[in-house]
Amino acid sequence: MSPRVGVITFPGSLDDKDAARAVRLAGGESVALWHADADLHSVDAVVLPGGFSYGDYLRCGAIAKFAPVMEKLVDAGNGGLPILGICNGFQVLTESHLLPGALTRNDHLHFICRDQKLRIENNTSAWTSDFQIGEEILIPLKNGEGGYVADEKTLDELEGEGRVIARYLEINPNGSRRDIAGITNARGNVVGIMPHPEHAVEKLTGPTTDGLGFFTSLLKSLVNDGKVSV
Amino acid sequence: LNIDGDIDDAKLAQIHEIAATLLSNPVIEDFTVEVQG
Repeated sequence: MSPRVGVITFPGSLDDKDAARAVRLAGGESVALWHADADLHSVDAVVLPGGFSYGDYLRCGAIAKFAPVMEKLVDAGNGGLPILGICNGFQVLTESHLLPGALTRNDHLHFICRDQKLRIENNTSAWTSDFQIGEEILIPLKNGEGGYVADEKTLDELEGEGRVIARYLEINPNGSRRDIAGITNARGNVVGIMPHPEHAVEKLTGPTTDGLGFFTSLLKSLVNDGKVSV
Repeated sequence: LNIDGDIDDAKLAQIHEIAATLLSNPVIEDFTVEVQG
């Protein structure tokens, strides 16, 4: 039985179809979840995709956190359900306090779209176990509010507990503190990342297939945890 | 925020909650509540 991975669509979500395709390419079954539906339909994991949920009104992710599906998702995330937030999904996760810190306007004030080199810093989370620590990957980045910020205590905790999962290499594209591109929660089941692994899963359309590792990591961790069998 | 009627402690507490959980993100923003009119 393939792992069932939910992909939530909010009004303004942009990359839900790409995330669902990445799930399928990794060997999972993608399950469409609707923002207004307060039910996770017994999925084994959830992806919060990129885009502009609720038009980014007020702050990116600020309104999405009140969507009916989020109440169940926050409880499930705190209970160990694997959740990956990509770009706007990362913003939703910080606004929902499943991850610490916040994403702010890029320091140069411009929307940026480029292929971005990253270094993997953590391979113990549910979404990064298929990588090697120190592995360099190249995946697309596209955001206007991608600057990761947190207070010094929180940043030190993230560093000390090995919860920075990826860092920008060669250039810091948005002013993120300590070059942070992605983080995980203490349990390792919730991951947020600003660049887009779901856009780098096929040679035809991506700069690489490096992003597939996030999705194969999930499937392997679900199998290793006995949550699903293949 | 436009509030109908008088502002009592309960309404003020509700306004503070709205400011802290929706209108601002305390990680990156501060807020003050000022009653006018």
